[in-house]
Amino acid sequence: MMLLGLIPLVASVLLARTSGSLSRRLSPRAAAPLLTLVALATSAATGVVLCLAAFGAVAQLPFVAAVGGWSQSTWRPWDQLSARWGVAAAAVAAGLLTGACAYLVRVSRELVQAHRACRGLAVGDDKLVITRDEHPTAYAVSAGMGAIVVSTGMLRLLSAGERRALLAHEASHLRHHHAGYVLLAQLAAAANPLLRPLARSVRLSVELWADQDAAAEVGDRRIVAQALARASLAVSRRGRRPAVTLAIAETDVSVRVRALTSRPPRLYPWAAAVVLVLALACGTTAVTLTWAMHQRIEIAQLAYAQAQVGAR
Amino acid sequence: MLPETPGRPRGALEREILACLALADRPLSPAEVRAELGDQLAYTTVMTTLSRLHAKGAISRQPAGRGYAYALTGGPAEAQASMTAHRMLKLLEAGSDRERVLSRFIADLSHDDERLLGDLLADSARPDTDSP
Repeated sequence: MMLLGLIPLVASVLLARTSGSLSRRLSPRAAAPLLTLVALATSAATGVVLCLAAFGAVAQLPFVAAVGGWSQSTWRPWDQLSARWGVAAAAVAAGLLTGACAYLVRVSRELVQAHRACRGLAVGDDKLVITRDEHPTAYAVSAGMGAIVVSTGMLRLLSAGERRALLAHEASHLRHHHAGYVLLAQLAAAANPLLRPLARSVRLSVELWADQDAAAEVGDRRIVAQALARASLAVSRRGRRPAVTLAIAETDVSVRVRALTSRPPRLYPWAAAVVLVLALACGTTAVTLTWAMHQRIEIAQLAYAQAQVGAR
Repeated sequence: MLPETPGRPRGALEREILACLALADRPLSPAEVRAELGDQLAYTTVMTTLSRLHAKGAISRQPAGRGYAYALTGGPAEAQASMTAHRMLKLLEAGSDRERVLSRFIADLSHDDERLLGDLLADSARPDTDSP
């Protein structure tokens, strides 16, 4: 039983180590939903296991046993976790739950802000808003009806084909609800920080997915790469970099450009099976352990009731 | 009504035309829009889409020659939308992770990235679209 509880932890570590290679072995449109699913399953199972461990330890305390109406002595010989470990598990569970709640509050606030702003945009059914701004910007807003906001400065940089690629990329984000995958994967990572690399993989997967859609629409992967390169360089050369530049060798843009200019990678469908098995293992663990805990409570309560009858 | 052009999902051509009109400093005729899009589109397809956009009030038109010339509506509504979009971007960029709600087309670059992208553009440099 104890060892079963380690499955979500093992899955988290495994996923963190392999998220990059898993996403490379899957097509982006499969990777985004699969990795989001396994992130949510692992994160939820981690929370359940921690809560059960905490409960199992706390249930040994005399006053808790009295309130719950179960036999403390029946409970104790079964429990391999000392109360100290239980307290530690409870603290970790509380910390992770706080992290997840804080994330939910932040995201909800941002979504409400974006939703309100979208109403002011007067977005038509083409969902395009062109701003008269010479600074090159382009982004998709996924709140409310959804909107594609592009500045004239960005449009001016690009050729007609590249403009089409840019618009197709953003439209793909909205059409396939890419922001939903990213938000759910980030929620999972907020509730289990080990899963952060997985959330980053999901983000990259949706960008690659939108790039692929744009390439299919334009009929030329190179034009999408050019649009991406021209837009990125123009913004970068204007020196409007954020204060904190990511100190990693490979940022998403170069991965995306390489994906668009090199030969498509060989895909391995078994990677999907690996991801599904991990998700299933985490789900089964959570259900099995919860059921086992329920059984134990029933037995301890029965012992308590018998002791009461015996005493009378 | 004409069928959607192959390879373009719904609304894609409308967006391209809006982008094209936004860049022009004067109203454009359907022929000019078609040349600007440069994708072997049928004249009637461009014409139909322009009429549809005009019917929705997204663009305005004025008589020019035997037909019409089209331009973005402009005016207070567009200025308002532009300001709202600007404000929204500022608001959301202030967040700790501004990419949660916005999916931007581009991300920040490292020096290696800049070289890679520069090489890519140099390879594909064409006289008409080459950037300085």
